[in-house]
Amino acid sequence: MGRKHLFGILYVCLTVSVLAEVVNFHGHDLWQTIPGFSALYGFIGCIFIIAASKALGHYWLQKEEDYYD
Amino acid sequence: MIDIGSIPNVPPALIYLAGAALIPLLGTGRARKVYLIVLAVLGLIGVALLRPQTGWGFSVLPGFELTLLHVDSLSLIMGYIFALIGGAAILYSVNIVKESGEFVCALLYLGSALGAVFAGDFFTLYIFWEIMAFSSLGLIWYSRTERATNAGMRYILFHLLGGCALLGGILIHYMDTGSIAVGPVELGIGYVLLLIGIGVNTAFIPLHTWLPDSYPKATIAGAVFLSVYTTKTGVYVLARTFPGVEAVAYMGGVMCLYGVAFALLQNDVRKLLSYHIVSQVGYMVAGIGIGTYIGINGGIAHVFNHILYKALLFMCMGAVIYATGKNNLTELGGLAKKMPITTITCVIAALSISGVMGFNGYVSKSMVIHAAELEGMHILALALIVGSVGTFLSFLKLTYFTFFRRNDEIEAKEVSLPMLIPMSVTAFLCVALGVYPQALYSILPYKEIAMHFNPYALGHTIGTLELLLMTAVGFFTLQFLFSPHERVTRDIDYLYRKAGRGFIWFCEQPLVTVANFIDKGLLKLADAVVWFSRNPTAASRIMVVMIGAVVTRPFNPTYMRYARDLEELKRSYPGEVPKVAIGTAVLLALVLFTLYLIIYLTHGVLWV
Repeated sequence: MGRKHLFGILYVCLTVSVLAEVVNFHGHDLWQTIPGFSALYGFIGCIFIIAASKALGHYWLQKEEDYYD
Repeated sequence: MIDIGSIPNVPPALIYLAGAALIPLLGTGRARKVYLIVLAVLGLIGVALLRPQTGWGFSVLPGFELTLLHVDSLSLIMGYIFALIGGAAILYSVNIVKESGEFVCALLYLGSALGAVFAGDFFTLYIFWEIMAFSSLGLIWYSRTERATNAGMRYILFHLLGGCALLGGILIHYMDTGSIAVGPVELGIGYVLLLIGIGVNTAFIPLHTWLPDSYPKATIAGAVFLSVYTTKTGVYVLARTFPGVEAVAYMGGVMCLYGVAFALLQNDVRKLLSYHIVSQVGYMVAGIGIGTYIGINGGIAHVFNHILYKALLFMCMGAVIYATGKNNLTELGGLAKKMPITTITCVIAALSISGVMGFNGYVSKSMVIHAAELEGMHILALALIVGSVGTFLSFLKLTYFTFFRRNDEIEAKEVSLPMLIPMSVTAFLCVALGVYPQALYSILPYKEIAMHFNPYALGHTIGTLELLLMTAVGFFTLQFLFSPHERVTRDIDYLYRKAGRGFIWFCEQPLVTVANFIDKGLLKLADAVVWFSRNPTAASRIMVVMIGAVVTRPFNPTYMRYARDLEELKRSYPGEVPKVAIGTAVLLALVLFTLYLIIYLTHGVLWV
């Protein structure tokens, strides 16, 4: 299975799930009332976490392996 | 047939604690293995036979009763999972642990954790709490490396401080209320101290550094035990003493994000898992802090589920380290074909911790997030959702770089059956409780409420699916960013180490200088007294001559002669010591006694 197939499957599933939400959205929680909200939030969350942890690690926190010895 | 009702309730802690005592007598052969497995089964039966709403205590002083066994639905569910995973961990370790001492530590640790969970009063709790701290230290030290020894020192320092805070809090609580029953505490210093004491074990930020510091350095089997008991006992006690405290709920949110952010930076597989303990305990703490029935249900359900998949993750990574001797993501890879069962069980655990539908983590995580939504804590709920995005990222990374990335150099063989059986059983339970969560609901503290919760409501399921798919897209798009590096990541422990070094510097430099100064002064004084007492008469004469020489120096033309006399006197010191006849000495003593008597008779006492 190549990367192309992997991404194909992921995107198809995403589209189907957002469509399913459009057809059938009657949740009572905040994020259940907007179709596709979770996908958007997942995207933002993903970027946020990666950016935050990478920036912190790269510029500040990470040191050589034997830093503490 | 035995009538189960007639068996008295035995505190299950005693089974393990007594069992630990015999291990050193059994050598290292087959007998020890059989004995350990029998003990694990006995412990499990002991917990299973406990009936709810019973107790077992005894009076130590009038009106002061210690309760060794307090069984209710909350302590019972903790007891079940502790004994269950304890059995799995014992089976896992029978073949790989060589030294009996390590088993003794593991059993003391397991027993005292059960003791703490079933303790009905704060003093019993405190005693088991401290046994836990020291026995778990053994599991770190038995890896016998310098790094482990040092990490163990830092670990026990943290836990001793936490234990002191806990004891202080308990004493203040007892002084205020006169009650030692484990229960909610009223505001005050005792409240803060108890929260700090429990917070150390529960890995509150910034008291968490002992955890990712020491767990990766523990022995392979030791880390499995460690991942289960300390933090979860903390969560349990938190549920008893601080349910519904809003600050605690938000602390859970902070732990969740903090743990995830640091986990993404790790290279050591067990260090990555350790940061995920902090993160996952965040969900439990959040549930407890929300404090509603569904919140506490969610927190405790997450304890149960988390213990299953986290112990499984530590078992899998332990198996990887055991088989390859490598513990860094940069050196691993390509194990999927060589260790298929480990790979499958690890993927199941990874899916469970990431909260994928059909696995147990999904159920309890949803419960906690749902509880936050119901209470209107939307920020907390959103933070917890971002936490699960980060968790999924982390475990995509862990499984990819350990098992699926190409690595032709690695050599490994699948581990032996005693390790694979507990891994498979735990993996099965992760799936079973994900598919059929009602089995777990029926032992939750508020089971009627739990039965109404459906994690597989359509809207929620689809939402979670979208979230996870998007995370996967993010991971595979930005995969180059995730490649591990051979670097260490500083945490808040950097500050503690700085402070520790500062303290040692303070002791070695200023404090020692002052001490030396005082020391020298006192020695000089002592020397002077010794010198004087060699010949008091001659010494007094020298002193008189010295004072005379100094005083008369400005107007004395014969000063030089004086000084020469002084030199002469000093050189001949102590010289001939004059002897006093015994009669004179007795006379002197008599005079002194008489004086004393007169003063005593006139004044009544010697000094007025």
